[in-house]
Amino acid sequence: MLFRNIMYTAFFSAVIAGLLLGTLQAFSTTPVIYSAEVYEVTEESPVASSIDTDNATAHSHQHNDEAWEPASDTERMTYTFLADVLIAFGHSLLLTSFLAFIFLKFGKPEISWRSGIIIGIGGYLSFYLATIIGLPPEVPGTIAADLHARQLWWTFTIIATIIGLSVLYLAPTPFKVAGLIFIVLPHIVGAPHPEVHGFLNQEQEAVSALSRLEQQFLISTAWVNLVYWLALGLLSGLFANKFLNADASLLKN
Amino acid sequence: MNTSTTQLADKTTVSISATLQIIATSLIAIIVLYGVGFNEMDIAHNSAHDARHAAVFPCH
Repeated sequence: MLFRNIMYTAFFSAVIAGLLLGTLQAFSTTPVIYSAEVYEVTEESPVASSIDTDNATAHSHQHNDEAWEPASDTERMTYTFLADVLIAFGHSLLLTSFLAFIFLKFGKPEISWRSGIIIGIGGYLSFYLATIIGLPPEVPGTIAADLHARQLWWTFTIIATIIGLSVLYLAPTPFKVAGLIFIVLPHIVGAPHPEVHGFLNQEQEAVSALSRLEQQFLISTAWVNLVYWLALGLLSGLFANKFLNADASLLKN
Repeated sequence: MNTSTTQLADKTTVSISATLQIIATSLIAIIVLYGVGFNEMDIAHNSAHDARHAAVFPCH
């Protein structure tokens, strides 16, 4: 049963890769987010109201008294780990489904930790590198364009990059140029950007601190996501080799 | 003749069903990622906040 075996593969890969991701974040990206939140200003504050928010939404917490939020740092960290495992589950499901699909249709590559790592690198390029070209990693308190426009571009970029990389990987040489077109297309369209780049908190001290944190966040997300995708690819390939290789649905002819 | 037809039919069934199963797992992946990454309810946003930022989902 292919469905069940892909789910098993993703489950075991996600638990390990998700916990690894959460642990790496706890020492790298999360402290940066916490530091940036120190400079957050509320919508009502005089500093914030001086900014034109018609075309740009304030990238800040909407501190609504009635909204639920984690009560302590420990609870907050626990939910981050949980979210990381769920994200890893989604990523591994996609990765394993892709591996099973190309094996089914093209008979290559063999399902192993090696091919898992290759698809993992593809995941890093699609979900991280391609998206940050248009939408750089943001710390809380950054002024950003409309959320839905950004989500749309982000999703479109990931799909186009996955298609592009797949064509590059699988198509015969004369058609590989089509893959490059898909990869470049989202960046020709361009990501939605706010009219001014900056931070909600415009005090001199805050701007210089947030600019520094923004750089730090770019570096930490870059290596944390790389390690995560390599691990997720390796684990998914490894578990897929165990669960999928003997799957009757994949063994055609 | 009968046997080969049956085998062919069996193989076709298996192949279609494998593709459908892969489509099903991919759809579940998209639903899970949408839920963790894009759900705007306060409870979903506030619990997944740090993970969203670190995995560079568009946030806020």
